Amino acid sequence: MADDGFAAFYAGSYRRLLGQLFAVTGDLAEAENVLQEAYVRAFARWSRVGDYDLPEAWVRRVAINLAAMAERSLRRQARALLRLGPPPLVPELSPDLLDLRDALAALPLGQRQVIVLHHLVGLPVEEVARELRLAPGTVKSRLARGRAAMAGSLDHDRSEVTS
Amino acid sequence: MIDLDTQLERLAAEATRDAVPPEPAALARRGRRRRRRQLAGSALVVAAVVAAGLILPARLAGRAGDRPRPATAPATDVAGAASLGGYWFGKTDASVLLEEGVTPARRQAIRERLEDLDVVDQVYFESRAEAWARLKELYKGKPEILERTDPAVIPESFRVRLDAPEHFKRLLLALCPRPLTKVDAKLACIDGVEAVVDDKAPLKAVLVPKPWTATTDVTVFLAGAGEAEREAVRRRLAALDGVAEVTYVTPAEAYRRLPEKLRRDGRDPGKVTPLFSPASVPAAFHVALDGSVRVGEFHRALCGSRKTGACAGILLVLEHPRRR
Repeated sequence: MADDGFAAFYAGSYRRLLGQLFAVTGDLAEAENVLQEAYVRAFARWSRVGDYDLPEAWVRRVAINLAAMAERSLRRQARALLRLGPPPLVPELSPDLLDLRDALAALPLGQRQVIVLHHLVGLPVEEVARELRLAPGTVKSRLARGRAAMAGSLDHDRSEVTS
Repeated sequence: MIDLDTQLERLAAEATRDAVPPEPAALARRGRRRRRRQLAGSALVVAAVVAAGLILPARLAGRAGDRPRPATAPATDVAGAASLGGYWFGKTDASVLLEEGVTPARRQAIRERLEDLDVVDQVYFESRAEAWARLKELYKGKPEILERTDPAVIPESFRVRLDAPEHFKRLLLALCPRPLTKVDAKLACIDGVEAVVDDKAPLKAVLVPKPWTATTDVTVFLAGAGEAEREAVRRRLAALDGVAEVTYVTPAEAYRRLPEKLRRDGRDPGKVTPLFSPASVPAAFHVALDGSVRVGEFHRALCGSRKTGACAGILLVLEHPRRR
């Protein structure tokens, strides 16, 4: 594989992006699937993408869009995005994070996307809006609703455990 | 309110703790072979073993990059080999996998600790030899699966029945109490315990996909396929308060609808359906409640207890909490 900095970019960004995509999809295998597909596309256009200020943002945007397509569209199955290795087992998570994962997974995709981009990636609201091609007001309301829903289910779980 | 930024960072870090990026060369191959369908043989083996109720730790499963795989791995047909009727299935709720080389004294201490927990009802020990013998029996028609499995790395385990299935989290907390502070640390379980696994996770993920749960509060999987047993369970269900609707789904029907359901769930049927056969999917009643009884009360009313395996004619009761 010809390089031009792709290998270093790939190795340096893989885990970070995988964590972000896991937060969006709630499924590690699926996150790897869309992320690897996005890297394949980035590599195919690397002469261009590699010159961008933030190739990582490009890969993330492609992967997030792929994840959204996967959730929205049945046609994706026909494409049978290929897996490269044995599936990682369900990741071992600390008990308190199981609740967080479940609360996140219970959100609609749109809310999950803005929560991850804003709170995990750390993008300001305007950039989240640009990334997802949404109005800033839509991003704000999705953020608010997503946070409220998560707070509700996390409190609920906590009381269940302590009772 | 929780600190969402920090918590999400921890979630992302823990989930990807063991992730290994595939070699760039493998990525390039993926680009070339994008349209060709490929079933990773080893992936299927791991998933099949999990479905059969023997959950393997990551060291047995192997990780991306552990072993070179041939460029075109043969598609392994394990239909029929993986049976949900694995020996422990429907008998226990959780597997406590022990670390390699744990001493008999330490093993005994772990057992006592388990038996002291108020959420634990029964503890069984399964040795490495027993687990291997069970696996050989399960896959006797599929030597290629056994060839890829190394008996030396199968873990010893305690198989645990809980006093109610939703107490899994308490068991996990008792054995693996410390949340991670460092990104690369393993989940901190007590000495000698490698992992604590929810036995029903694979079943929940595959057999009870979202489209059913929209109208189903409880899925009652049947232990046998006989008509008399089925009608006896149906009568018991009909006699309960708070049941709005009962739908019977035959194994053949559930198996036929599996690919469609998996697709709607955004899963790849090509990877999952080979693990099942019409004979390995249990018959089930899907029950909708009318809201006058809680799901947990329903389970107790049906079975007299919420313990797994304590209900005549019934393999397993899976509850689907939903917000009303």
